[in-house]
Amino acid sequence: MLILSVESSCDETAVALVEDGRKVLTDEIFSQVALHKLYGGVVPEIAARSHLEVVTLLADRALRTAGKTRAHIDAVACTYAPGLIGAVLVGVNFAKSAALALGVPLIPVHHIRGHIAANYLAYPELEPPFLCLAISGGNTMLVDVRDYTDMSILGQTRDDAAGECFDKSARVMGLGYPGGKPIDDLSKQGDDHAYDLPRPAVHGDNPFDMSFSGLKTAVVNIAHHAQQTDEALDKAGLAASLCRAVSESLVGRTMDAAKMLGCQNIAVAGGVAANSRIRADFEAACKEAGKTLFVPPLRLCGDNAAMIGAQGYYEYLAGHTAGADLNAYATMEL
Amino acid sequence: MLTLALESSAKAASAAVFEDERMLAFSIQNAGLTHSRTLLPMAEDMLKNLGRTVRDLDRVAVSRGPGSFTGLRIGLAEAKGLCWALQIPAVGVSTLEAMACGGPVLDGQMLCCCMDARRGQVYNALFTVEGGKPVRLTEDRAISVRELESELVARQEPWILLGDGAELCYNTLDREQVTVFIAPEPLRVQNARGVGLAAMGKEPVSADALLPAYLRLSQAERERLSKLEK
Amino acid sequence: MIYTTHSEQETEALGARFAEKLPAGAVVALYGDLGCGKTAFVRGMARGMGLDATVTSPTFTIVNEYEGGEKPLFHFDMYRLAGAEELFDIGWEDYLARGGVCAVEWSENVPGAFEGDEIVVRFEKTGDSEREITIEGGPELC
Repeated sequence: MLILSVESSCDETAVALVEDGRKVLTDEIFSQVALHKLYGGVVPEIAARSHLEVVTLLADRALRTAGKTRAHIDAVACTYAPGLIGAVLVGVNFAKSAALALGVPLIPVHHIRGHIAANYLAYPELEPPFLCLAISGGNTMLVDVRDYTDMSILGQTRDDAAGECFDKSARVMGLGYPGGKPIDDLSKQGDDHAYDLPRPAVHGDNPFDMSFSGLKTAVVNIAHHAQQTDEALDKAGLAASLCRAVSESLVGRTMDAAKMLGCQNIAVAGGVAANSRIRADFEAACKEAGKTLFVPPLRLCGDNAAMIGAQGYYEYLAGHTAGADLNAYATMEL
Repeated sequence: MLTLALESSAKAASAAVFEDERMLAFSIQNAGLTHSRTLLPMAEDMLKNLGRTVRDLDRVAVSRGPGSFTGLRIGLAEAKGLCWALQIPAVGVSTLEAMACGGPVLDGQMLCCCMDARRGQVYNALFTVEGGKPVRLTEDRAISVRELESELVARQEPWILLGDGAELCYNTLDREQVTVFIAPEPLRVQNARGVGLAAMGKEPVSADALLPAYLRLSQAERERLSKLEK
Repeated sequence: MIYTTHSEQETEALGARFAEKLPAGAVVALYGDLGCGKTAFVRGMARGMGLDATVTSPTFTIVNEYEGGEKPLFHFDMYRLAGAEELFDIGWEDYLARGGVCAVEWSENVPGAFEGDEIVVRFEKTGDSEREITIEGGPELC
């Protein structure tokens, strides 16, 4: 079954062709397509979130790259929630009218479910149940994936996303935006015990919830103190200490949940999974606990349409299709 | 030639089907539901009642702007989806022109199409009517009601106000200096019938080339207004 | 009016009192540096508006929408916007017309966005946990 999938939930616009939920024929991600290839010549100025301007171009490119025609498309899947509403609406409305015109089913897909499904594309042998830590863009959540379309959130951040903690810390350290990579690189040169950063305690009913804004504030305070007292800031040490603190929080919660659920497989989805400290700590923890770790390659960790096509396949099998009245939603339960 | 016309820039969503120059069906809904829920089903039902489907379409006409950001995106994305899938062309028309075409087109009338753009500004275009069709006197532009007033006074004609900005203009313009009438409600706002009429005789474009025309304020303009407001 | 808070909880509580009487259509512009408590304040606002929601930072999503109470809360974070030019592209004008309360973090990034009738809340760090919060405009606090 060949699914044409569309993703436009925030900054990115992407169109992919995915076969049987596991084989990616092509994933045309706007930010990664060289503009000159799109236009074959003069490159106009196009900003992020230009979903309306590029969606048909990406769809054309997808068919061309995969060597397919419209007649090959068996269904159209799209991200319908959550996200920036003006952005999601473009994907939804393009997809549903295309589906209507092609006479094929329309499959709405939850964006976070998509991120979790990126694991299926990276690991053909992975099947639910498994535990998934989704740490991408604005999300930090621990998900119990019982089946392809049956999942529940065990815990999530109460305030800032983990990735955001890196971004903002990077900013006060003068490292630029986005901050994940610079912090990661710098941390390798530093002492991860150089600074004593707080371990956020989450008050309340859910032991698997997380919190990162206190950590961010601590880093900001340290940077400001150094500035005010004219002390040299040990940036490498701060970066390393920060990575250790974030990792301990994420890996700790995940392993606790894995133990509680008694699950064998642990997947980590999302751009923050690229952080070396987090990866290393997960590898070590899983080895020690005898668990199997799955971390998709970076290109599947950011927003993309292939993951939507993957999850879309399973939503279809579960009978989750929609009609011409499909709406987009800024917020949606997983 | 079978054309589907879509209009989603206003509070109401509407769709119309034209066979060449003849309108076969027209549907409009204004119940507060988002156009994303209502527009395509409306089009689908209308075609079904005509014994057709979207696959019989030769062309899709749609408002490009100005108007509601989310509303326009819904209509444009749907037009793109249909045109891309069916490999048929699209015609994007100015919302203000569609408003004029769907308004009281009696020869000699002067039409002043206005949409509320906030901050005492309106999206506006002026038309005269000849041969039963609106003829443009100005391009689409965003101007203050005061500037509009000066222009209308200079042109020394009585004007029919159309659009959701009609009441704002009616209440703000100095009616001692310029004669204005507000068009009756059903004829006042942009709709798919007007879109279909405005699309006639226009060169279609590919789905790729169908782009929004928001007419928004530039950064410099925003900051200038912001300083004035303080 | 100037208020001083000594913890995140106090900032939240202030936000709750502030938001209780906010009318539909209110625009609240927040100004203040990283880690000043803006999100905590908005978290309090949601509570004060009777919204049962987990208010998290909208830095990546740009806008988070919270519905289910008397009126919705639209929580913006302009941190990632280059300027007011990008405002339109996120549907800013449509949000203003939806009859909710718009709380905008990093308002510094979008000069020219507001129309002169917005409520201004300024955050200043006067100590590690201490914040000085100045509210200009809006209804009296409960």
